[in-house]
This record gives sequence, structure tokens and C-alpha cells, in this order.
Amino acid sequence: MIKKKKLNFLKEISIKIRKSILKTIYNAKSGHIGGSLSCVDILISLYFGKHLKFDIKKPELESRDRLIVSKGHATAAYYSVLAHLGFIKYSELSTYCKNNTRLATHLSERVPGVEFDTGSLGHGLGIACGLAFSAKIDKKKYKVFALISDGELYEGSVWEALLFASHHKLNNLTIIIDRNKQIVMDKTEDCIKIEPLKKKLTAFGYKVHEINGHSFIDLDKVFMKIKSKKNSVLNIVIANTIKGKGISFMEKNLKWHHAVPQKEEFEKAMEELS
Amino acid sequence: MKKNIENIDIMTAFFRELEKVGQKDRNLFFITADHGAWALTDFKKKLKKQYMNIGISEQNMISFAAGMALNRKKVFLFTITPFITQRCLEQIKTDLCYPNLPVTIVGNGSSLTYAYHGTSHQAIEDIAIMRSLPNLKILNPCDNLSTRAAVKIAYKSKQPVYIKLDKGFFPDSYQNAKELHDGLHQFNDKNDKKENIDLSIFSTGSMIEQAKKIKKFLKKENINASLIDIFRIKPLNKKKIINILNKSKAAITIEEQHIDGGIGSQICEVIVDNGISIPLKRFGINDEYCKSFGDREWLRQYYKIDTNTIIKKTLVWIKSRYKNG
Repeated sequence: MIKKKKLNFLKEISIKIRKSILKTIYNAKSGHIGGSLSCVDILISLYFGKHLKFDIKKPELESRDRLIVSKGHATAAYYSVLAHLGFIKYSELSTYCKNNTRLATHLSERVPGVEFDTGSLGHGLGIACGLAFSAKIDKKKYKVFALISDGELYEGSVWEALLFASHHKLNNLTIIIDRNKQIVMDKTEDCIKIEPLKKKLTAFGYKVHEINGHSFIDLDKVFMKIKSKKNSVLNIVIANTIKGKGISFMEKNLKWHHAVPQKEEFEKAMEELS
Repeated sequence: MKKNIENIDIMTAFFRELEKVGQKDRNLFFITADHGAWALTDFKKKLKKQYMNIGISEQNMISFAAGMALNRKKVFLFTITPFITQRCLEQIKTDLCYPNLPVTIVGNGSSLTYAYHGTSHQAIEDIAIMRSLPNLKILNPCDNLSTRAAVKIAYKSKQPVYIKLDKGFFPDSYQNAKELHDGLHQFNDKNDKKENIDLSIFSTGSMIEQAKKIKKFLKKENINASLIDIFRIKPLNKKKIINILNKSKAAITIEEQHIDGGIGSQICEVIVDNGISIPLKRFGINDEYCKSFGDREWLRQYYKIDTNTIIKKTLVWIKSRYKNG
């Protein structure tokens, strides 16, 4: 069970980083706020909860764990996390979406800490499979994580990769689905039904952990459980999340996929976080 | 019938070379999307751990190879051309070309190879499409030697490579590997003129055999022609092409590709970009899909890129421009 001190620490960081997401997008007048706020607690748990092995001074360290963030539009969240960790300077976030920046709305591996460029949905899981498979060949001990959005489940390539990882028993790969139940224009279940997702993935041969993707207790528990498993179980985490989580008027609101807050909205959002 | 010195088909040449490289480097992997070949049998048997059938999933195959390449594996991907170039085009763009990862895509059955299998299996668009991808090297071998060279070049490459690999027996065109260094080669006979060439014939891959026949015929008509094989379509050796064009009175291009975007377009671009003023005529597949089926030669006739049609049209064209040929 996660200690209270650690829990409070993570909660504090999650507020700081949410503020950073808002500021970054408000300043840039661009970015994907909803999907950033839905996956940010997962990223915080992985990095600050120490479930991911990394070295800020050596981002390319051979023994590091590999995280592929397949939902490449969540850069406001990911770059804020990397800035908070020290991979990049905080001040660099002010260059987000400005000319000649390396921080764009979609993920770039030019940014220290980032493994791969993503942006078009449905690519990341295949890449993660390649990393996990070759790590096994080389008997490398690091783990591979793939954070994908539930919207990516509409891409056929994701199911190709799910079949592959299952067949090849890639137990060094953990797939995390940011299940915020929204895509750009619709709620997933109104558009094309994804449910029953757990059943589908179980039938594919995965051990499916369904958790609250904003609960650091849940996240910690599931990542600890996965880490301790030495057998050939294939793990998928369905992290049930809320698009726009943390800002009352953004939560579950389709508008906030990539809307930019106006001055009043920004101030109100910052106040809610305080 | 013995058609080349090794007496093997072009795919056997490819897989023998790949096996040779793979024996020396256990980091070499060959992945097929469920497309087999007799020629693959040996590789599969001898390099079991370096072989994988990933299933009919080209998109995942490309992304997967990108992940493997991040861990310094040398991956060769293989299936029928349209499936490995067009179905997964975006994966090639964002997962291989943008990060510039050294993965080799081998499209089997170039252009009209899969004649009676229909348009779904033919690839007349791939050069135009793949040529627009930055960082991608494109190789189009025409015989066993150039196929073996393509394997070696791809293996050593630090960037993604696309190889067009035909099927069947091809006569030897190249004599030694050095001829492939420049990415294009002039096949000259002993008594061919080197300056004041009446007609330069640019061709590539599967059309080289036809181009040879065309050159031979034109020679009988007192047209001193020179044949150039564009083995490396990208990056194109523009310097050498400019040099050749400057010594030629006219040029034609012959390809089994869509007329727009292939080597004909490349030569046009070189001519325009460098202010070269010689007439050029392009032979390629016009902007249409044939909805009837037949063998490769029948399709070439349908698309008007067969030997006789090209000879006839070239003669008329030359005579209209230069009286007395």
C-alpha cells in the first residue's frame, strides 16, 4: 500500500503539473488540454511514483525503461512532467508551439526523455512491441511501457499489435490505456462502441487490470503488482479517466479536446487548482 | 534454359546474399507479412532465429521494425509491393523515414509482375509515392549482381531503404559490383560512341531487358543510342545524368511505372532544373488502371510500353525532329 507521505507528494505534484499544462497551453494558444489532463496522473505515477527506471542525467542510459507515449497529442502533460523532473528546463515550456521550438503539440524525440515521435494514432504499440521483442532477444532487463489512448483502439494497427504481443508473450511490455471515453467529436460509446473492452482484451490473452486512472493508490498498486510478476502474464491496464480531469468546466466536455482557455477561463481554472 | 551465369532467379540471388550477411551478423532479421518464396527456404532453415512471419499485418510490421531498429537490429521486411508500400505508407513516413531508422523494405513483384493477379497486387505507383519520402533510399535492381549489391547497400545503410525486388530469371547486365557505385550505369558496347550520342535511353529495373532490345534495334537504324540503368532511384545521381544529357542529342525514358512521378519525371526535373535543352520523350504507364487481365507482356502491350510500340514511337518521334534520323 502506498504510504501517505508519497500519496500527498504525488497529489501535490499533480496540482503543480496541471497548472503547468494550463499555463503552457494558455501561453501557446494551442495544445490538447482534455487528453493531457486525462493521462497526466498516469505519467506522474510512472515517473514520480518510481515505477519507471530513468536517469535525468543520462536520458539514453541503456538500462532505462522505455515509455512510448502513443497518444502524441498529450505533450502539454508529458513535457510538463519532463520539465518538472528536470529533463528540460521549466522555462523551455514557454517556447511551446513557438517558432523554431522543439516542443510542438505532438511528441518529438528531440526532447530529452522522449523515446519516439508520435502524433498519428495507432503507431506506438507496434513500436513498443519491437522494443520489447528485441529486448528479450538481447536478454535486456528493462521494461517497456506503452501509453495509448482509447481513441487509438479505432485504429486497426493497434489490434495487429495486440495480437502480436499476445502471441509472442511480451511480458516485459505493459500497455496502459487512457480510457477517457471521448474522442475529438464524440463520446466513444456514442460513436463506435468500444465496450466491453475488458472482455475483448481478456479474450486476446491479456491480464486486464481495470483501475481509476486518477487514483494514485490504484495506479501504484497496479504498477507494483505488474512489477512483481515473474511469470508470463501479459498486462494491460485500463485506466478509467476523465477528459479534462481537475477543471470542473472542462471535465467530460467535448469542447476541451483542443480548445484554448480564454483569460477568464484560464483564471478560473487556475483558481480551481489552488 | 540458362539465362544468367549463376543460373538462378533474382529472388534466389537476393536470399542467398541476405543469408550470407545474416550468417555473419546475428542482429540481422528477416520479417515477412505472410509472403513466402521458394528462394526463402534455405534462409528459413539455416537462420531460424533470424526469421519471422509476422502475419498479414503490414502496419504493425513497419512499426515493429522501427522498435527493433531502436535496439540496433538490422531488419529486412518483405511482402508483395503494394501491401508493403501503400497500406502502411504512414508508418513508413512517421516510424521509419522521419526518425531515419535503418530498416529495409523489400517490395516483391515490382510493377506489373503480378500481372493476372490484378491491380491490387501490381505496383505502378510505388516509385512516385516512395520518392516523396525524405531520408528514404530507393534501389531498383535489374539482375542478380545488382540485387546482391542492393542487399549489401541496404545492410550497410544508416537510413531506411526501399528495394524493388522482381521475380523470375533475369539475364546478367552488370559485370562487376563497381559499376553500381554511382547509382546508375551506362551499358555501352565496344563500338558505341561516347560523345555526340543520338539518343540516351534511361531505364530501370524490369525494363532494362526491353531497353537493351530497343537500343540494339535503333542501332540498326543508324541511331547511336546509349543505355543507362538507374539502379538507385533515390538519391538520384543528378551530376552524372547532367553529364550524360549534355553529351546527348535527345533522350527517352522507359519504365514500367506510372508515367508521372517515376524516372521519366526525374529526368524532366533534371532537364528543367539545369537548363538543359534537349528533347525528351517518356514511356510509362498512362493515368489509368487496366480492368482486363493478362500476362505481363500483354499488359505492357495494353499500356503501350512493349518493345515494338516503344521502337515505333521513338522512330516516328526522332524522325519528326531530325530528318534522316
